[in-house]
Amino acid sequence: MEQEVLRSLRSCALLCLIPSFSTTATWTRTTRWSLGVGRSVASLFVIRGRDQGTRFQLEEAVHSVGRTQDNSVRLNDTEVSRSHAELVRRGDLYVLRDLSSSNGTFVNGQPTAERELVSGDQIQFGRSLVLYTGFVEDAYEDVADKVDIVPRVGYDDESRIVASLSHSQGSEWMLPEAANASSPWIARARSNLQIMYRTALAVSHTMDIDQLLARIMEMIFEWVDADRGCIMLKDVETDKLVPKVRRHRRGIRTDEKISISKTILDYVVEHNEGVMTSDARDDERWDPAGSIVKMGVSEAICVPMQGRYNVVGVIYIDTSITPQRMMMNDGKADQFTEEHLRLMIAIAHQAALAVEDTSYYKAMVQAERLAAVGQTIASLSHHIKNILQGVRGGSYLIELGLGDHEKANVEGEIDEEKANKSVDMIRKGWKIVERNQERISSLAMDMLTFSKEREPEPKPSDWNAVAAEVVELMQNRSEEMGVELVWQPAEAVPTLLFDPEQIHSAMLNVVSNAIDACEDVEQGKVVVKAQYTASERKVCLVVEDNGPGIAPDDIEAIFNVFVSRKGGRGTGLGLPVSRKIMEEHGGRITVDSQPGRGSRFILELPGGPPPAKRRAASDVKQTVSESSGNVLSDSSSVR
Amino acid sequence: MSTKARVLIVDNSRESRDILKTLLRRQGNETLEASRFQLAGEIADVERPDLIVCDCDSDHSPGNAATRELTYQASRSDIPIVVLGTVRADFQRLSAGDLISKPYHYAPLIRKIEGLLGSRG
Repeated sequence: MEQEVLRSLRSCALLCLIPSFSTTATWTRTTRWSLGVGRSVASLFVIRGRDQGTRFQLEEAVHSVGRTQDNSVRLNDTEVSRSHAELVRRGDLYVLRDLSSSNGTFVNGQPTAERELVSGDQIQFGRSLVLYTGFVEDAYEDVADKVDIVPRVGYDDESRIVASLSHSQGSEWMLPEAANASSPWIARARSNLQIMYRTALAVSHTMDIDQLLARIMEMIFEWVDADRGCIMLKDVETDKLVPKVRRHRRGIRTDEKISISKTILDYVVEHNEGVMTSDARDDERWDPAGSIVKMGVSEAICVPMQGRYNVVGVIYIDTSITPQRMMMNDGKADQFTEEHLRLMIAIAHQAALAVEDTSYYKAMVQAERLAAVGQTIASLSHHIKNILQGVRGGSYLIELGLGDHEKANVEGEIDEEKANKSVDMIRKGWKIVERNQERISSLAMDMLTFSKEREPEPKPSDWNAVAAEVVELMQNRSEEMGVELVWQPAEAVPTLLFDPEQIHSAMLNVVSNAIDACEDVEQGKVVVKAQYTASERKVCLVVEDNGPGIAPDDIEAIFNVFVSRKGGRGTGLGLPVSRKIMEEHGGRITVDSQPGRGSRFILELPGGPPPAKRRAASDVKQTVSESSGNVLSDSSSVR
Repeated sequence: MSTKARVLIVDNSRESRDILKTLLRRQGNETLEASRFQLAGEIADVERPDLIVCDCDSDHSPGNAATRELTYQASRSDIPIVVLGTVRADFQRLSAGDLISKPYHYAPLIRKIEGLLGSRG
């Protein structure tokens, strides 16, 4: 294997792998979160530190926090003590207790020995910062089809807009009203600030949109006395509003549909304004004989989710005020205030930014994927072009040889020397054509192996025999290239369970690379050794060459797709394919190289069965001599 | 073509060198081979070939620096050079070499080489 690096195309695994971004870890972790129906559990979410993005669910009576494995909340942080702190459940909350840790425990920046935690608390253990979220009582569902948008004509048209507020006005709740700077206002402002802060936090830590919207809905319910709520997002293609999250306050029938007036929705989206509605009719309805006292009043807030560029959806909440509650409130029906409306607009804006972010992220992934496809095609056409060049060369030699041969005959008698020369040329040309035809066939096979998710089909096979076959196959080529090929079979290898065809390909790629690597080396030598380590129950194939070796910086890249240093010959698929096959067998391939001295590749197959193929092992009607695994029996007892 | 010409082939693929070598020898030329560009420069210095054919896909230096270096060296020594493969757009402007892009046919390539050799001296 000549190991110059064309370019690292790390992310492209022949069109099928998603490019890896630094955020992938968080992405996959968040998908594990359960979008709960019913009561959600308390959790710790790591905001900063090596475990960033990890969420620990708190379900036990006692959780221990520390850096060793025996802790249920284990932090990979050297500043965290082995047994740092514990969380003890007390009813519906957790109490945090520092266990005399070396570096202490801090809650919201304050050193803490013991303290009851509330949702939103930030706890510092060593260098790790975690966010505590408590139990959530109310049920929320992600069932979207229980929300109806009713047309203009309908009973809900009784709803009317009582106040409206533009998006820009929505953020004014943060401006202090100088005259009113008394404590109630400050208290309200603080609680408002807190909800905004928590919204921002949720937005920045949640990649999964459904999860995020559910969380936002949950926070809205913690903060305002709403009975029902839902978040609808605009469908990218149809532009229609599709319900995403729906939630009820506890005690409200959950199978009841939420009806939202289309008039209101249209108004909100078109005018990009939040609205507050009330279905209380004009003054005559306040007549005690009127329906209002019997039916109560229902109020709603509906706000646009205005992102950077567009309205991406709406958030809707409503509440019904029963006559009893109205009596208690001195007949006042104002459940929602303008302040609620302002804050809802601000929350919706945050949520919209997150929704936009996610859709742009998705678009970016798609773009990256297309770029990878482009690069794949470019790389493939380069290899095919090189093969074509070889075919052209070979066939041109044949063509000239045929012409020369004819000429040698035409002059009455055969010119022996000329005839022989022309036949030599034809033979040479034919060999080149043949070699390139093999090249294109192996390229096609490698592409196939790489592109499909094929599981190995293991059967009892002989590691030595497969390797010997590979060596035999390569013997001709290495002789042609003046490379000595040495084969050393292993002793007493038991019959193993693996897919002989695939392992054959994996070995062939590595051995043929080794021979290629020796091309320009005087006295090139490739040693192929099979080994069996009984104690570890594994077999190896060691392939050593005395070629130019691989620079340390390039070692990582050689297993990347389409990285080839073999110029015209390499497809850049050989080693990635070998690695894929070995990994599918639960094995691996390692390399160790010294520039100027040569490289050593080791293909390892463990005695244990390949993953997800245990079933196949039991299909074999042979006694498995040891506990389980690829090892069927000792070679002495078989064949 | 009166006298035997000596052609230096620079390509890291043995197969490609073989094809070209066979074709050029058939025409009665002598050939020299180099698998690496650095080696090619040294050989060109010592052996003073009549022509150089180099495959720039074998040149892994950034920006085809080695190819460029070899073409400069060739033009200083007044040796015609044929460059095979894909090179950056500005290459032709900068270099004295003849560029033949891949995939090429061998008959025209040999004609080109013969033409350059015929006009020498």
